[in-house]
Amino acid sequence: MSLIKGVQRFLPTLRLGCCLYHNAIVRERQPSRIHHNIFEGERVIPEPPQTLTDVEESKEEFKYVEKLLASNVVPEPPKHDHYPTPSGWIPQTVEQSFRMRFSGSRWRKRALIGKSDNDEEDFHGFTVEELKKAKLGDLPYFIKRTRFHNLPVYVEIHNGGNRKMTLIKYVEGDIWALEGELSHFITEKTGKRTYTQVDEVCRKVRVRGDFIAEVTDFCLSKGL
Amino acid sequence: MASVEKALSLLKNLPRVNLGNLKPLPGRRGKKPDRRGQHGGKNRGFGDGANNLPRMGFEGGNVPFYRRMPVEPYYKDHAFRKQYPPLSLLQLQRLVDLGRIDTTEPIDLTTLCNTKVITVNPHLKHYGINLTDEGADIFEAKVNIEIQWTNEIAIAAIEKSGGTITTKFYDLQCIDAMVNPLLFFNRGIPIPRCKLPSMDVIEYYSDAKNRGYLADPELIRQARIELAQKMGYNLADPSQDPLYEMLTKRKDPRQIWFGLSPGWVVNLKHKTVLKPNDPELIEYYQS
Repeated sequence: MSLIKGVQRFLPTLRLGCCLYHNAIVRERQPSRIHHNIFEGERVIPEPPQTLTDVEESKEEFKYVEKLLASNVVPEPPKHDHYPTPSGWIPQTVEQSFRMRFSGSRWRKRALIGKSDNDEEDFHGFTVEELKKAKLGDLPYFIKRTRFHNLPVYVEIHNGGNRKMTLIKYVEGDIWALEGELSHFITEKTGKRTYTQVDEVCRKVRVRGDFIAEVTDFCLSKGL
Repeated sequence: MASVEKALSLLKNLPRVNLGNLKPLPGRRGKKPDRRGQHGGKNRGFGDGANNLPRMGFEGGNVPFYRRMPVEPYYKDHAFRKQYPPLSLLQLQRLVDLGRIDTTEPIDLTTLCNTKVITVNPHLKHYGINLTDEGADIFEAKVNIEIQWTNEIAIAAIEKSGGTITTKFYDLQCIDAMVNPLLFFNRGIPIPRCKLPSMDVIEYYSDAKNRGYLADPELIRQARIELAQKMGYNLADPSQDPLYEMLTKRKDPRQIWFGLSPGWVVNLKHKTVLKPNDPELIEYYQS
């Protein structure tokens, strides 16, 4: 009985061994294994013929390649003889006022606090004295154009088209003055009462309704 | 212990269980055979005997839903149709006004894609750009433009302002290279040879009315005059133009970029262009 039990104990190992032996005989040699013969000095697969051909190297034609590569910067628009241009574009005529440009900047703060040791230090082309004397421009507010030189005026559509909002972005300076003048302008033009939202933190003004034509007219009339 | 290690090493080298060597366990019983009596005999479950349901979609004798409407093949082969994203003349004029397109050079697909206002994706079967006639009344720019699809009014608007237009076919491999040349040159593969148009569009690109690149130049000259008479404008004499050379610049039918031939490889690092000398390659890439 004990003999039978002992045989039974080794039976799986025996069977596994038979299985391996069986596999070792039957299995074909794979193509990947043929490469082992290289180390024994015998090459089974002949070396492929040389396919690289001769080339001529030229630097003159590279100027055509440089023309094809895209610029990463939006260029400044060229000066036209008269505006609007054929496509209806009008440039911004109002210069961003001196004080507004530096009102929030660390350059002006540093100049006003007096952290700068050297008074003749150059801040973006302006001296400290100039920055201290900087005055407000004609308009108390300013709307910066987008990087594609367009007005940052958009129509937002909410609730599946039931609620439309006209959005003005990049407002600088006195945002409440802009809101007052804009709502007055729209009311005069359309005869409708306007409802506005002022987002002081994100510097945005919203008008309820689709007034994109009126807002554009307003901005262009102010030279923004 | 040694035997255990042997067994483990055996296990490591043995073939794994997979679909190829699966078989039922020994002594497994097959499915109970169907009886021959009514409802397949007694002692059966609910779903066993009553499997004689009508076929899918059968509505008890009515004309079934899937046969009630006739076939509407509007969208047949929609996945294989050629697509041309639109660009209007107004957009083109705006790009010229803002200095984002240089009109002293010929305009092609690469120029338009480099402005980043229009996206051409060869994976969506975009075979180029369709120049639409919106803004034809205000168009003033004098350009030499190469486009993949357009219409009569857009052609008239461009020729009225003294420019020239060509329609040219590019296969998807060329479109892929042209929409982003930097990406293409970084791959370090030869500039592709432009294929000839496929059968469905070869007529379009051989027609002088569409200013096709395969049309006879003499017929194109006549078609320009005909269109000017039809639309009622005076066609300026291009040979008197100071920009005559630029306006009449045309690519080879196999060429995709000006100044660069198919088969050349661009090395952006060393700023050189590699040209093959092998006669077999030269013969393959020649027009």
